Amino acid sequence: MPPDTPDSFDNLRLELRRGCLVVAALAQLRVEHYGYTLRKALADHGLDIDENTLYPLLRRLESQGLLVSEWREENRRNKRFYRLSADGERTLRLLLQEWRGINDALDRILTPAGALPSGLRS
Amino acid sequence: MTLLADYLHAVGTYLHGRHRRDILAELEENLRSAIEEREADLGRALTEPELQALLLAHGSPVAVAGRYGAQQGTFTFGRQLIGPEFFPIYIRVLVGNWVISALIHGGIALSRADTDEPWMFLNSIVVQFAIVTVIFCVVDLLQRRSGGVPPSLADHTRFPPTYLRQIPRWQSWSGGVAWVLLSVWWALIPIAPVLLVGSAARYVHVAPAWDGFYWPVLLLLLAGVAQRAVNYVRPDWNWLLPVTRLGINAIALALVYPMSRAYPYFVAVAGQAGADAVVRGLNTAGWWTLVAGFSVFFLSQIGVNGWQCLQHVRFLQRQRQEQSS
Repeated sequence: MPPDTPDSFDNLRLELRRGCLVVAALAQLRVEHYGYTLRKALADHGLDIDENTLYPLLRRLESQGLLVSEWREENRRNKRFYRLSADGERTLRLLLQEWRGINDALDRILTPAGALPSGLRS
Repeated sequence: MTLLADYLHAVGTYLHGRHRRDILAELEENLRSAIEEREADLGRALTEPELQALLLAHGSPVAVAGRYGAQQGTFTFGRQLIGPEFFPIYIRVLVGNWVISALIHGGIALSRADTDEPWMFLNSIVVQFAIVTVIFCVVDLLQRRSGGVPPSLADHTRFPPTYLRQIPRWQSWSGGVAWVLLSVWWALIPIAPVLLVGSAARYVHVAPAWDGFYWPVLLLLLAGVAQRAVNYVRPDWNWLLPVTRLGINAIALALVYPMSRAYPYFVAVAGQAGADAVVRGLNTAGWWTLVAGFSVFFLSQIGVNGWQCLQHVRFLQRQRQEQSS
């Protein structure tokens, strides 16, 4: 299948987003949220995440020790609040360093002579 | 919020292990928040179809559970042959067949003390495994080629409830074909008794008492055909299926009593040696099939159809209340 078909693009886009979503969720959880408000907060910043991706992701990050959670009552309903753990903060710092490194490298690759190729200019 | 409870129940059927309750509680809370926000946007409570759309937009129960790592099971031989949507039904059908086989062969082995019977049983379960597996592989392949497994089959659980489901067209035409074949079979029995008693038709006749049941049974079968045809054209008339089936099963159950009184069902042709023994066997089998088999089957179906009709009536009542308020 040629690489420019929509299917290929979707798969590559998913791969690209997967790691970024983890970083975004960890970064957003420096402030405590429960699942639904976290999704809203990320969407408000322009990062839409499917609920079916985000909620299982939170549980996975918690099982890895990067998040901590507790059930607490809010507005007379029990909600599970997540926040970054100490391990999560360290990991987030490392991930951000990595991401910035990749970002800088990409910038250099895309603009070798200090200017974007004509095809990538907006 | 019955619909939400149904949805969570459906997701829960695919989840196992110690985190199941925790996952469902969290999912419920997140969904409630989404519902409340949507209701705040609209300035009113969501109708059931709107709520169903919101929940299905969240994902089908099998897909949602899959995201949490639930294993639905598949049948794979190099490549996936039966997907997770069909796998639970496949297992049920296979196990059901094996249990019936075990009962039949066990009964025969005990009554005859036949040493070959265990081998016959092993042979039959292998054959059943092969046939059922091939059928499900073909169905799975056809469904995937035609754009995916319909939610009504994929979620054999309680979501969406029947009163909100459209009846898939493939279900209407395949059921219609089955009912037509059954109707033709029944219609031809007076002309070709071999269709009912096989080669014994040479010396066994159907008793005249059956004449009185010929048309009522044929009309019931044709009612089944008509329901399938109507639902093929109008899949949104989802109430028609349980209502028709309730009627058909109730009338069929009412017919079982006079049918059981019409004993004997078969008579031997005079002067045929050995015909009496065959007729006795056929009459006994016929009586047990009617009284023990069909009556229990119709009664259980009436229960299921009655419950589904009640769900439709309650849904209509709720809709009227929503409209009036």
